[in-house]
Amino acid sequence: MENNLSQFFFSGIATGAIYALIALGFCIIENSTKIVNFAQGDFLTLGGMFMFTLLHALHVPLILAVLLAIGATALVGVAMERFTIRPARSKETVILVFITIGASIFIRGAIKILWGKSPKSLPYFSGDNPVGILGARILPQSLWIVAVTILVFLILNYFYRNTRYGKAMRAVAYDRRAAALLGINVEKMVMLSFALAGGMGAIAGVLIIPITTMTFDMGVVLGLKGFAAAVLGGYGNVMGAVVGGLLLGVMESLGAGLVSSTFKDVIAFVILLLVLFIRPRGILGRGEGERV
Amino acid sequence: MLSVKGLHVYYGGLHALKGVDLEVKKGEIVAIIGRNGAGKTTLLNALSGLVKAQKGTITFTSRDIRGLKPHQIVELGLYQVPEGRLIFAPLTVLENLELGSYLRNSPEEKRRAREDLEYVLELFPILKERLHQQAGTLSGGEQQMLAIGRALVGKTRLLALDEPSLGLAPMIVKEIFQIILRLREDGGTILLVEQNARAALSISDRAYVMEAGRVIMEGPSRELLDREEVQRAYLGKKGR
Repeated sequence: MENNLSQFFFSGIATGAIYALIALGFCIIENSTKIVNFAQGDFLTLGGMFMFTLLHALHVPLILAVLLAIGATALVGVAMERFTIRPARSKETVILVFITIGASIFIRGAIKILWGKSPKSLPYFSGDNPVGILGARILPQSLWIVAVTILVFLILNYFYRNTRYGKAMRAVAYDRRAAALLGINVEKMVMLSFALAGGMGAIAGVLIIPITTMTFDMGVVLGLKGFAAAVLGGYGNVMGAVVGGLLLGVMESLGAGLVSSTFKDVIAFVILLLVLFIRPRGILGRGEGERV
Repeated sequence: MLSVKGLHVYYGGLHALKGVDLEVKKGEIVAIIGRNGAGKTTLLNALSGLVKAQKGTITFTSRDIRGLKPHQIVELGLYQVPEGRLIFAPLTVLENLELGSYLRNSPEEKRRAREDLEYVLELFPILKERLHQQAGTLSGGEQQMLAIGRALVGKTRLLALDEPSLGLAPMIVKEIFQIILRLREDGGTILLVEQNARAALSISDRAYVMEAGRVIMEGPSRELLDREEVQRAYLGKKGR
């Protein structure tokens, strides 16, 4: 039983890390535009698909394939901003959010046409010999996921707090007008944030495709879970995204293992609803104050 | 430094500016006074590229800036401190000030930005005490000081202030107007938009009076202060 518990816990951490990466993608867009980008989950699928083509069809070496998949998805993010968000006549949040839903449907359709409906799979990065940790047996791929998530979190945190562009993005999120009046190129910052969000989605996709086979519509559920994680942690908060993601992953895994795996997906959305009812600003959210 | 000729702005169905001419020379404080809705803020926003001007010319540092994006205009040195200040409330005072020098990126520029930061903290000692506080926790007067300071650490050639006295206690207004005078002494050029006509006229060199999208009077501020129609309409004095 104890071994089971730790097994559930650690596999929950790995899934949770993926949710955290998706939540970070939501967070990046929130932090520059205050909109919810519902195409975030599709960035993940896209990253995985690019990875599949690069590795499987083009035989690009692993590291290069990862970088290219991230870069290509970042470009898709840029294109999405340039051709759907920027030309929008209205800057109303609701309308922009609807546009992201449209973009999401479009990207999913494109994936279906380009890669087909059959599930895609890839080998693990570094073998499939499980490692024992506290009585649990963990796939090396899960360790990759957790390590990369931690790294991404640290980099992003540093970026927002200490770099010129990071601070400019926060300024743009808080008040576009004030940011523009200090010489910040608002459109460029928004575009950059979509590139970052695209890259972030791709990282998650690249990491996850060896574990779960990738289908064209996988982004829908994963995107919503990442969204739930972001809300749980405090929407727009970098630390909150990670905490929310891990917590959601662990609760899901424990719930599925100890109660029934039928309820696995339900758990995330019940948590999402509970957070929205009880504490809408999430665990680390600080209301209208500091976000990052 | 700044020269505006025949500027027209249409806002939705509204003809907000109807051929405005304006001149600001280096080292001047120029005031624009007028009632709410006279078009003062629209004029400033047209200068900053925030609203589109359909007709006329805006020449700044001998370049035509009409039609440029806001950030490109700032890059040329026209910094606006908008009405309502628009400080970044969740960021610290220091982070706000650092964003002011966002465009100063070369090592040489950065060094000068640090000097300007020292200067700003000398102008507004209260900001020095609050450097690591969230800007949203400052009082209204302190926020106005921060907004001005934030614009002063940039590549500023012309500082355009929109209603700096808005909602502030008379004591604080006096302090801020003293600072504006000090800025001119130190070589700054200031375009001041104000509803508080008396205060604006008493510190400025020249002034424009706007009404319904037009400039209806202009001249040295001292002369305007003495003109009967100005006193009656903007200074609250009964005709003699």
